Amino acid sequence: MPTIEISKKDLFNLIGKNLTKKELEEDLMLVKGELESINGNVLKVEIADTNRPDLWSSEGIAREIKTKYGKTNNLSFEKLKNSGLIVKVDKNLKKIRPKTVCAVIKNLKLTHEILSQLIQLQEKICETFGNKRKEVAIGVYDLHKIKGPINYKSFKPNDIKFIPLEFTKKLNLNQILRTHPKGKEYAHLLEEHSQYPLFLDSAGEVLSMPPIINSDYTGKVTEKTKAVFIECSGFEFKYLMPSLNVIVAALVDRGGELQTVKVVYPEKEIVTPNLKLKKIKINWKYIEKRTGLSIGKKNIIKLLKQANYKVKDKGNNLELEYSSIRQDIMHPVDVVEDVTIRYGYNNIEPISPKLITTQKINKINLFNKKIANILIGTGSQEILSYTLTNKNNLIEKMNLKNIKVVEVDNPVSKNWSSFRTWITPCLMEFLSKNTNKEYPQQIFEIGEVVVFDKNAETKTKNPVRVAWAKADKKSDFTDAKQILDFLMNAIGLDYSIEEIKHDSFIEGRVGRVFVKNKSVAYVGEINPKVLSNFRIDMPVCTFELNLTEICKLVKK
Amino acid sequence: MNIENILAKLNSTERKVLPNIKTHTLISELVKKCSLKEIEVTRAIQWLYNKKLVEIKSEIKEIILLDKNGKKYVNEGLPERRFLQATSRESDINEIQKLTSLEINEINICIGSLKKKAAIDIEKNGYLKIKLTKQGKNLLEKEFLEEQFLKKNFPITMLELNSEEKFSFESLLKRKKILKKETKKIKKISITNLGKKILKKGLSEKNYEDKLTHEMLKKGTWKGKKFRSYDIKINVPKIFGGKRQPYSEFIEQVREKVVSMGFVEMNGPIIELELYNFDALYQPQGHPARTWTATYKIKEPKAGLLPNKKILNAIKSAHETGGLTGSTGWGYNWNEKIASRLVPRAHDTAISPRFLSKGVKIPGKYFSLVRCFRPDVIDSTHGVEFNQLGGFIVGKDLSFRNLLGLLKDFTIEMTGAKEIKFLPDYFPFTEPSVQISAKHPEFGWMEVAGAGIFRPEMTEPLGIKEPVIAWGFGIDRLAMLKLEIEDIRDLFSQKLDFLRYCKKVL
Repeated sequence: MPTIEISKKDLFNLIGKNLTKKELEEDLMLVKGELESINGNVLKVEIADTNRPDLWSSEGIAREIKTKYGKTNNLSFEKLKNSGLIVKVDKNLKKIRPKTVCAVIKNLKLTHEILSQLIQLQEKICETFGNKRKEVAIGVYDLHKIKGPINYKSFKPNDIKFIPLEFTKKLNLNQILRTHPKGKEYAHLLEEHSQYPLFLDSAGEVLSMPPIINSDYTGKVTEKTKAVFIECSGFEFKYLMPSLNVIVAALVDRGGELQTVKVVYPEKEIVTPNLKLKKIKINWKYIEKRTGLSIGKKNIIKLLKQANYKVKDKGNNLELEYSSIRQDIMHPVDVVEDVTIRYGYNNIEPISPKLITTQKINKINLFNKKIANILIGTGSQEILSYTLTNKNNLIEKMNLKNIKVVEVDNPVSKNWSSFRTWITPCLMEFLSKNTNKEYPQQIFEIGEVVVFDKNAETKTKNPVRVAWAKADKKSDFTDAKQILDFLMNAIGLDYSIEEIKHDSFIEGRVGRVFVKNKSVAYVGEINPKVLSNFRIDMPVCTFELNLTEICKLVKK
Repeated sequence: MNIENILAKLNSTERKVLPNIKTHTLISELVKKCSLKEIEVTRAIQWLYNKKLVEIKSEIKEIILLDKNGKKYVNEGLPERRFLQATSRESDINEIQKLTSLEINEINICIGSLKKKAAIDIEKNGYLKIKLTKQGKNLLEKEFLEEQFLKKNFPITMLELNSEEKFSFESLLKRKKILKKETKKIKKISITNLGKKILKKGLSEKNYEDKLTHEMLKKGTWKGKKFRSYDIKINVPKIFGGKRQPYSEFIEQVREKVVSMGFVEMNGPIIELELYNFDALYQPQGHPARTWTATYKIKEPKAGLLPNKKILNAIKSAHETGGLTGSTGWGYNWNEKIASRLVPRAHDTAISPRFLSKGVKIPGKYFSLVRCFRPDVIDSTHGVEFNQLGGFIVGKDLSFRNLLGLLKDFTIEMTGAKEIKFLPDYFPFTEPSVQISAKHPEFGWMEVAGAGIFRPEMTEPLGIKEPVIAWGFGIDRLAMLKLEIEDIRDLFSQKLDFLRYCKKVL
């Protein structure tokens, strides 16, 4: 979710009206915005919509709010003047960063506030919509310093030098990736290639190395700049076109004159930007049905106009035209939302849905509750751990080898990097964190684990298990078996125990528990090696049961 | 309280300890004298004190103990002794160091100490030369005061030191880890007048039985016997009964509440197909709408099994062109392979398309309450894992207005809030989308749920033509409020005492 900073004064100027804090909060709902803070003239606004870059600047916010106060926006850019500037795209960029769309804006009167909004919008688009500059990088240049035509082509990293923004010395492309802060931050986007992309003008002056950095000479835009050249580079027009449109629309709202640029690809020529209005049809009754609001066609049309739609009334159908900076509209439901937001969510009187349905809880959850209640009857404290733990706890500390666990590839912390396959290690970790607390410590946990299952749709399954443990000076196998016995009796299951070998337990003091020939549990005394790994200096006895299996057996 | 009464309350250890207090005032002495354990004596004295039979006076004493180096020097001798002996053979400081194998800092201390004793002279002639003085030669045969001091029988109290010893003590205390000084409370026990009267009366035990036994009951010998009275106000050792984990119990109650509102519970796998976590929710591949939540990746297994082609093709065309849904779609080539990858479930909504595609009852209400996994930075508001409560209602004529009604009911039921408000929101799979905030009496407005009507591009490929209104609650935040917990990690508290003493009744 982008959070943007804007000047209150500037915003109210653009809207053409001063708003109280309450009005502002109310109106920010039109852009799915929440006022995070006001600090003097600086507003911090969080915009919830990650698919509407057109809202991420004061120009965009004002565009939506001002219509509420009877003002209008210029939506059509049908006949744009040709700037005469040409950008030639070289074919050797195909695998590196093949596409660009460009525009020129003249007659600008840039102020500090306009510039900071421009930079912020540029950053937010590249960061959020442009997937951290991978899909979209945007460059803005002083048009008067550029001699057309512009070439977009690739170079070997050591073959060319230029002065990157805010530097004073010429560096080659490798040096820029290694030493410039932006170079270091985004180097990973280029490093795999043997050549890097550059924009150059006909005098050989470098404009920029996308998606890394502009040159200090052409790429520096200040309040004195009167005209700019803008390019967006990346891989797909569906990301580049809307990004360019949003940027130019903001500058047009500031009074700039938009002109087109011819971009010449090896296979075809295109003229950008393309800001033709887009069209969608919607039945006004569909809006009423979907929202549950019986407000009539007239009101719907009024709200649509406020939401910056041009409306042609064709009876039940409404033919809508809208600005091409809106790249999010795919289906009439998107129009429904615009109308609903204009109507005001809090002006709608909620009606509870009246449906007769039957209720059902998962059997296993009912069963878990039953087991928990039996175990608290034995004086045991229930605990809760995370499903995520680590291989050290699950395997090494438990004195085991070669257990297959599902491991996270991008963990936040090594402590939580593998899914548990059983719960006893979680109990051991809990006991190890409470060795200074009063004994006896008698605990249990019920929860899901993740184990491999090659036949399952997700190659894994999540049986529910319960593990119980007692740590005390005098705890031994008998304690665990007594509780297990009590539990099995309480749910009416006969069981048998077979001695097994398990390295987490003391040899000769561990058994596998069977119900109707199905292995359902372990019971035993924890190996002192395991206890010392967890730094527990009390004997511990435990059992662990597969409740998913047991639940099935109880039923039959 | 009269003397008879007190006598009746004295137990066997009190009876053993009391007469000995006349002659012994320290607990350590009483332990030996009565042949009881220290804890038994301490308790007996506490009980006697409660009955005002004894007095306890605390004295603070300073005690001197040998520290790590002190113990070493007792065995090996002080470094300056070794140094002095070495200077009788060598004068070059480097040679002395080799001979004594002392550390540089120890050498420095030796030089300081021996100079003070006027035992050595130092010549600086490019390098340091040490010369033994006459006094030094004498000292070769004589013990230093410090050496005498270290021979004492530690621990000793400050009070026993004479002035010479005090001097040695001060100089040794300044040095590293030779001696340490501790203050210790020493309890002195004395008998009160009341205690003396009791003793005079005699502590014969014959008249009182300590315990009612199985034997007495069997043989009937309890008849005519008096039993020692207990001090029933006394503290007893703690025991801990079994208790539910508060958060676990909270989740269970929420589940039961939602079921009672006519919902059917759904469940799904922890390791989920990207298909259900993303694609079936109309989140395009390689698009920012897919990264609105951070998602874990797993090393193995990489890919799972996809459902039948009919559903896959419908999802594919919804993504690519909108298919039959009346949408433009996202306009890209949908890749089945990406959909078959496996990820830890990042949101509970992943479960909804599983059930919608399997066929749900219409009208129907469905919910799930499950753990979800996202690689967020872990702090007081972001846990390693979190629970989400979410679900949907499907029905022929459901509208956004109904969704608001449902959310209002839910929020009031779950939070008890009197005031709520709706805010426009964004989710890739719902349109319109809404966030609901509730006013908490203390903390003000709090976001409690996100909701919306599922997009037709999501539901229609799964075979659902009717509107589906969907909602999800951040259940952890509600639990924190109910349980009065400030750090989200405490929901999974690893502190035994927190669980043992948690008083919150849900």
